[in-house]
Amino acid sequence: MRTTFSGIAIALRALQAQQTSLDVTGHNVANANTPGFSRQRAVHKASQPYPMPMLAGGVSGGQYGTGVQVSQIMRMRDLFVETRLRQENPQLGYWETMEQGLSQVELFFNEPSETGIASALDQLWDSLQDLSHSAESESVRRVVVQRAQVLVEAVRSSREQLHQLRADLNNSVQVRVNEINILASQIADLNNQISKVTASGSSPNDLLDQRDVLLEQLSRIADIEVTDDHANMVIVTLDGVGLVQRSTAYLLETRRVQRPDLGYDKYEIYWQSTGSPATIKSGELGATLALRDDKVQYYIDALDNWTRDFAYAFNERHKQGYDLNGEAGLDFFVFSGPIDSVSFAAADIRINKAIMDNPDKIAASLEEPEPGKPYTAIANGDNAVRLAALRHEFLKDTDILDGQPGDERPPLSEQFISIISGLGVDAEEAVKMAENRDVLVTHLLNLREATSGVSLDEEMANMIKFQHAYNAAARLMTAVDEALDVIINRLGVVGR
Amino acid sequence: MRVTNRTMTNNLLRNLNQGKTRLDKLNFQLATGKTVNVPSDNPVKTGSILRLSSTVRQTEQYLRNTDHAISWLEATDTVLRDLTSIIHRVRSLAIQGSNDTNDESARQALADEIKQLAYNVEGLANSTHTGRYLFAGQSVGEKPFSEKPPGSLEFAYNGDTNQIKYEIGVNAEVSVSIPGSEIFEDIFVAIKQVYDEITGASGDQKGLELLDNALDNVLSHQSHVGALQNRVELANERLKDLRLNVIDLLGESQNIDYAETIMNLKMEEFIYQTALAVGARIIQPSLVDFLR
Repeated sequence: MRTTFSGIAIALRALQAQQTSLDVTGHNVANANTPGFSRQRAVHKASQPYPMPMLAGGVSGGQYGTGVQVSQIMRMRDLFVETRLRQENPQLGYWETMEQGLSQVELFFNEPSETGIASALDQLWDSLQDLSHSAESESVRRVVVQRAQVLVEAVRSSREQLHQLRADLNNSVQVRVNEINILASQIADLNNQISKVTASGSSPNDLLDQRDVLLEQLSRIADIEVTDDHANMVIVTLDGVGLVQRSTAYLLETRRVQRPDLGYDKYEIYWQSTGSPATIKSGELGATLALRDDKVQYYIDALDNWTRDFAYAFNERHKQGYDLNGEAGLDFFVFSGPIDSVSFAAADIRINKAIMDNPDKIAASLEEPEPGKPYTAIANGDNAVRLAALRHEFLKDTDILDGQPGDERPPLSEQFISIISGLGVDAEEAVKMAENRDVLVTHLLNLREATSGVSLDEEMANMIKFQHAYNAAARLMTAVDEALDVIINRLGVVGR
Repeated sequence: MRVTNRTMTNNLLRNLNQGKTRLDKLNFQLATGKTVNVPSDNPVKTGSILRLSSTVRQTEQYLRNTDHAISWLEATDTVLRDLTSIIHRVRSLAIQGSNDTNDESARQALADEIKQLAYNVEGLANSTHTGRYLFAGQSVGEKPFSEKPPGSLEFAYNGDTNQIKYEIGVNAEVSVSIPGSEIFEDIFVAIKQVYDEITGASGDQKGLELLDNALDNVLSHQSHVGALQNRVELANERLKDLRLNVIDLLGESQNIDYAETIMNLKMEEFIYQTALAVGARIIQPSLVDFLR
């Protein structure tokens, strides 16, 4: 037997359910531009029906509905897309950082241009050619010294900029590790709040969204793995070690390690709790490490080696000649130590001060002086020809540091060109990979948006829908009210 | 697929950004005139651009070397031509002098002129080209011939027997200078002999023969210089051709095609503006605008 007032109860439930939906719509609209927000939906469900009590029982005419209730407020998410995003994000972060780093290396080498090392080298060879046929000319000798100086400055400036880039990368390792620590702590904190809300039986939708945003940021920086734990918590692992477990974050730290062999103090990453080293392969931090220890280091080493090989070959040939006074040639390029033990050749290379001060000391001649006689073969430029021939000649064992008979290496400029071409290939790969990853991640973001994003049109349509339902429920309430009015106020008034 | 307002905004922003990136790249190419501005623009082309620019420079250097060599050879040729005419003059004076009809004063006049011609030859032997002695071997700073003792008409050579060389190609050298000792010593001896014969200081009659031998020597050097001039000029022409070819090749790898690039720029501008216009239309309206 239905109760007299059950109509009011149904209308009330309907009003409440439609109002909740209107509120959720409002919440969605309000957060349409909130990063990481997933749209929500109030799930309507018919409330528990009454069985119809029957005098005879047995044959039921059906259950008697009691209206509507909101069973849960659902967060619209595509778990598969979320997981894919967290896998692709480290790759995107890695290649974007790599692209930026390598484009700086390209900038510092400044090739192809009229002012780079290759061009300075060409001009030095040219000036030596001039010297070969005007060996006695003071002005031509000065030009040779000046061209050599331009080359030395170009080499040193590229080397200095690469060194600075490596130092910047080193500092950003520290910054990135701090970011990881802050994010891990925040995620641990949110885990804690989420587990409490979950235990009380509700779904902490907005906290979950906030945590997803942090996880996404973290996955840009490092190649984390995220697994679900009980009570809506997540476990975050990095390099196979737990970074966040329940409400605890296990933090990283950087230690400054002196590396005189590399010429700077390098930050290494360790786990604070265990003290063992942490390996980060991907993400922005992974790329920063790869740039610092691998790519930029490689180009620094390549420039150092090239500079040393160049100086050695040049000096060896120079020493075989005679200067304007018939004295044997000196080392043209010098370092702070002997050339076979010099560590950072490109940062250290200088022109011999004696030659700088007195260009007569350039050993352009191959004519041996006669003992006791003044040197007259001042226009002999045969050694200048041999020096200029380094432009196109394969280096022989006598031109190579620790060269063995039969050793041969490509010409110096060719060696330099292959460094630059290699850099081009590296940078091009980074550009292409970053583009590809960007397309992929953008696609995934669009897919996520398709599920989780707020569509204003849709919300407006829903708003109208809920508004009408609300109006209808209110009308129902009025109808029931009027019916009750008839029963209470107008029935049984006969004879009054 | 469900498309939200944010999807559209994001996509629009992304497209606009990509359009701008492409515009920037084309602008940069137009501003520099070069397709390859950093190695990653095209690693393979970068290598060949560096190689070709080096070849252009090297070729231009060889061209300058040939120019220097040519002017050196021209200077030498002029000296040798003057020298031949002096020797001819000495020779005719010698023949005049060998005639017994000359009286003492006529002989003296002949001898005086020969002496002057000897000093003319000394002047030629000490000729300079761009401040360097042409005939001193590699001792270009030393005056190659000087009379010792003065008035003796005996000239000593102070230079060396080396040669000035120019590289006119990879491993191609040309020796352009003639050490003075190879030409002038014989001439000085011959002129002195002729002079002595006329003044009667020498009773021999070999002056004319010596003079003829010296003349032959000069002529053979002259033809040698002529041959060298030909060789260097040929090399010069060849280097000019090479330079043009290499510059062409370099241009092909490095220079933009202006017509094509400007056309691409116009296309990109159009695409960008269209994206902007479309953006203005799609971002604006939503159902909000049409609800009462």
